[in-house]
Amino acid sequence: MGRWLQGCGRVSRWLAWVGGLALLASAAAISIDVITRALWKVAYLESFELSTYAFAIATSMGLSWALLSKAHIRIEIVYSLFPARVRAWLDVFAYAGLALVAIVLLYWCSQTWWGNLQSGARSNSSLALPLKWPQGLWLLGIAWLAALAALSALHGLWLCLSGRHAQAHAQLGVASLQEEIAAGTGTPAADGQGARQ
Amino acid sequence: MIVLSLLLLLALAASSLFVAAVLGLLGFGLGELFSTFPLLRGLGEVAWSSSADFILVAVPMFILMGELLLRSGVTDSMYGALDRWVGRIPGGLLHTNIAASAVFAATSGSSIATAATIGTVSIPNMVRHGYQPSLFLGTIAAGGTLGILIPPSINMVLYGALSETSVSELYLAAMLPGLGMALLFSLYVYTRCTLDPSLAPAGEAASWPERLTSLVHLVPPLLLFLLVVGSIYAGLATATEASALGVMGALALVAVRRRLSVGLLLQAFEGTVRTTAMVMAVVIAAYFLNFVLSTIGLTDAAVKWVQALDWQPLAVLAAIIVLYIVLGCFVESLTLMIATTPIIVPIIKELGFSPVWFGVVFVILIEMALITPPIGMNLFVVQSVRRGGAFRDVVVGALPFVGVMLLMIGLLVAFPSLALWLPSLLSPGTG
Repeated sequence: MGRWLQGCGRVSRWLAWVGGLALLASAAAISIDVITRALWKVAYLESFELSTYAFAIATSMGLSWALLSKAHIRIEIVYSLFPARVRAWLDVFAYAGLALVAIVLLYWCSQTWWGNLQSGARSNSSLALPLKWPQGLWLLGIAWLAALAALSALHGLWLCLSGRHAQAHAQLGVASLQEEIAAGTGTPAADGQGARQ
Repeated sequence: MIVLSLLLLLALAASSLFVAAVLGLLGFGLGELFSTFPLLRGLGEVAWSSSADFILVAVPMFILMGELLLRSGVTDSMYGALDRWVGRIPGGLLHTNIAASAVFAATSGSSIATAATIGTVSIPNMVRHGYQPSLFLGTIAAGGTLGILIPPSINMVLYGALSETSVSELYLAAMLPGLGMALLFSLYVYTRCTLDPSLAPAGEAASWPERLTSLVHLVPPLLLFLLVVGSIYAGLATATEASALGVMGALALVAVRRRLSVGLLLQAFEGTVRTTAMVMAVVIAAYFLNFVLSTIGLTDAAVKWVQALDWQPLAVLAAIIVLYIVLGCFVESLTLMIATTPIIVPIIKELGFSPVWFGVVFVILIEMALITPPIGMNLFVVQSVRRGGAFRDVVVGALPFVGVMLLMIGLLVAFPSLALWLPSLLSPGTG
């Protein structure tokens, strides 16, 4: 099951690349529109609308990547007071809670998408883009998050039940400060001493 | 209803669940308890409209810009150049830390990135030249917080979106207080170092030709700042459009410095999407919670409760400020900002304060949260970049800067025009 999760991690990383590329493309399109609007009072690329879709899709596609790289915020004041074994169970609990919220979100977002699909809703602009396309891709990202959160919770539960609390905590626990700094500065994680004293 | 909601929030927050899940569950729960309508039906629509909000598009753009900039390697040369200008003032590199943080902040929207970047460049110098550690580390932790005050700022975009305030106006309003705070930081360092010269060794004098040639290293960040902030005030771009221009500018900078590669872009994408998804998960959940709170009337109830207190507006403001200082010691700052903006801004408006002005005060309070123990992200970042030594040094070094921030808030309360003068002068288009 662990290897299976690793494969999912690779997919999440690809999704993050797709999201990042969509954002960079939006930045280029918006810039071109700003320039042509300043020069000739016309914006050609409809970047206003398209960038919002790129943003929504990049966000939803990135949710699972953020989960696997432990970026999502958890408040750890009480958590850090407990011994490692309890913390591992709290990790499982946290992932289960996230999975629950993600599944509820997925259900209601798919209702919105389905409604727009049925009615053939189009965006309220000159593009008149059928909303089913951007919303469909957005929904896929949320579905992937729900699946990964649920799988992670189950995996952690299995590890805890079989007595491997340390492994469960390593996979699901709150990110160490070194991991956070590495992500914040774009440098590879250094094996420094624990900073919180 | 207010008490029950607060208790639920506290219980859920202490549970170490994901913050986004906590806000979501709170929304589901309060909707079920207090509403006769099935509010969950609105979830899909709320999630989509907050995910595809053009104002919020500025958030990933500024994150991407920062990711590219970090990898362009401009910070080292910028630090050296600033040192030639301010290194001679009593306090030496301490002023360089503050100035470099301010300049970096002007091209970055994040405090953690600012503190980590400046810390990495400057901390080796602390040991080499024999600076007193706590003051040195304090300037980096506090200087780093300028990242979210001096425009562009990701927190300002979030505040603007959640409180329906123009982001362009917020940027204008934060400009003078941001510069003023950097100056006050330097003034504090100057005073301390004049009174006790052992805190910092005398800097090396730089000749004028050296100084002038070093200016070339300040050109890239300056151009980027002008591109992003200038385009807003010239009326050429909205805040979001300006952030997109900033991304292209940072990309050009990476290319000019011959560092552009597929690997670099993919790393930048990973970092950007990671942070964006993290921020947006909380934002989407907060939008839904906000939708529930206003539908069940809790937002109104909170405003009425404050009215019923019948206090002077200034007394309420003081209470709010104290509340945020206390909360800021314990709650992660991004969560604190996103989760409370929808409740606190209607109260502020009701009291007759300008939401633009409060945005500046609020961001300074959030900056304070970043350097107040026990949970202050910038303290952790600086300690971690330092790798070793007592954490106490950083905490003790940063605390006086909390005092400087309080002074700045006091000044803003006494002279609101510090924030509101620039926006009134150049009222740009919609943000």
